[in-house]
Amino acid sequence: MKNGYDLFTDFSEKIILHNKNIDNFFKKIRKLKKFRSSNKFCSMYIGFFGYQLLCNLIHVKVPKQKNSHFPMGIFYKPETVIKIRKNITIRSSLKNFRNLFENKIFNQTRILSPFKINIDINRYKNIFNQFSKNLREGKTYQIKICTKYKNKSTIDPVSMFWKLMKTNASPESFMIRDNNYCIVSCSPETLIEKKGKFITTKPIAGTLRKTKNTNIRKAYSFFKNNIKETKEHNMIVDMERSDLSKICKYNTVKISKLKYVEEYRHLYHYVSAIKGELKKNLTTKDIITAMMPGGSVIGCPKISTLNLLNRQEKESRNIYTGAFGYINSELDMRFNNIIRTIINFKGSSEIAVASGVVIDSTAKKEFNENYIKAKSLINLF
Amino acid sequence: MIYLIDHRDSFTFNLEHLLSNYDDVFVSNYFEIDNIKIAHSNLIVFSSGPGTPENYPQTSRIYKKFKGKKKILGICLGFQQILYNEKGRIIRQNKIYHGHQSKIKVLKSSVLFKPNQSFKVGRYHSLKLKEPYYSKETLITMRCMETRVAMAIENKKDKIYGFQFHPESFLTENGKYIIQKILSA
Repeated sequence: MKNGYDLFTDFSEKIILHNKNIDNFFKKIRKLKKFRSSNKFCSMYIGFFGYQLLCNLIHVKVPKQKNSHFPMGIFYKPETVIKIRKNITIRSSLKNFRNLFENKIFNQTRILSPFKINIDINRYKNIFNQFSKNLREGKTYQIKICTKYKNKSTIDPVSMFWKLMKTNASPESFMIRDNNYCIVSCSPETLIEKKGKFITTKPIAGTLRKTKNTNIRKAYSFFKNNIKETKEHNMIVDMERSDLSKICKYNTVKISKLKYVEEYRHLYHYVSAIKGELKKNLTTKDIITAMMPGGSVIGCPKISTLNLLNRQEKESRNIYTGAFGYINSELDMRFNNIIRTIINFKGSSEIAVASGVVIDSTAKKEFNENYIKAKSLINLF
Repeated sequence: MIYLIDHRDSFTFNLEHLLSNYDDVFVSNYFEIDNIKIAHSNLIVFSSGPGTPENYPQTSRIYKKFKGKKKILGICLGFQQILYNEKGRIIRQNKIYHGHQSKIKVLKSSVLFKPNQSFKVGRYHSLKLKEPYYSKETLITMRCMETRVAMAIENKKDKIYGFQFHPESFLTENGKYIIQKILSA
């Protein structure tokens, strides 16, 4: 949130998603509208769709990969929301809402082994060369290679999240603490913001590392004068325009803000905002399948690039490049792209990062860019 | 009605919105063609897409079936698809243009556009037409001002047109004008 944080709790429902119940979930969302509670703030589902589920929703098959059997998606129905702003307000549909200070003991952060990367530079180079060949053949115009850092650890997500917010607050940050897993994220990227009949997406393409000599103005001129970054960004803008055009009324899709720079603790991002007016009678599923998984974290064109990625990646992306957010009783929603995220499950923490192979990139540079992206999260341990 | 054949590209729906200014547009995947609708259309458009024309034999069949009977427009891969079926060879480029804005120029061979007129256009292509290319009917009518790569074709007799660049891209300055010319041809 812009000016603070929303904390959701007292979940009356937890839905673990898979290919077979996803349509039921979308039906359930429609029912939210009918049983609109007096407490509008809680009449929503909040949670995430994993990468594989999003692929399957658009009929892209993911071959068998190494995975930790983490659920493909989880949504919760909260009954209490605590708004942390200058003042703290609590709204709840329950009479006895949760006592925040209950004595449940959660894990402390404990590191049992150092972070290891799943693809070393040599393997990375091989994949990079394969994808560069695919680029020259025209099978893809841009593709993102995903690498993962993993360690053995338990984490205390609450303290880790606040630590992260001190160094790397971002508009799409979130944290989930459940009994058997937790997620801590400083995602910077808004994939969908739907309010009434309007929908906005804010793709990021372009990352610049911060140094002593950079500032936001210099970053802007770097992106503007860098042909590689500009072309990569252009492609994502046209791609997101097209994704929005699938679900928006004719000639309503407009670039509301083209190519601006957002500043973070360790880096700068090159961002655009695109907006459209939704067609009538769309379902939530229509909107989600048109926009997800987010183009900027996959590459372009989407279907062909997803197929190339899925054939190459031996390890499940899990929640990485999935989407976290909420859908409420008005069928409004907001989802991010799940990047810059730590997931802890079965005693292991995982951080996935990716950077784009376009025609002018080099393997070593992209490999290093991946590390820059993971660094602020690795430093939390 | 305009029948837009989508080669599963991530730019197709920009094209749909652009075309919608002139007529009803029906979009389908290249492997799910609605034979009745396509038979009733006034214009068939081949979208851009990944890969090479060889990968889309269904689209080649449609081209051959409707050539001379309906107006046809090809964009990017669609442009190459037309040339491929007109004995052109589609080859890899040394320098690749993805998300690139180029200046292109209209040649004297063009009937629709004024010779020497120039446009700034968006390009997304790894492949190009191998030249020299000779055809009595399919003429190259625009070229990139820098690299001389073929950027447009016109076949006046059969009303077949194609652009290697993307008129629907935000990088193309006169996309509406360019499409309008095709629609009124």
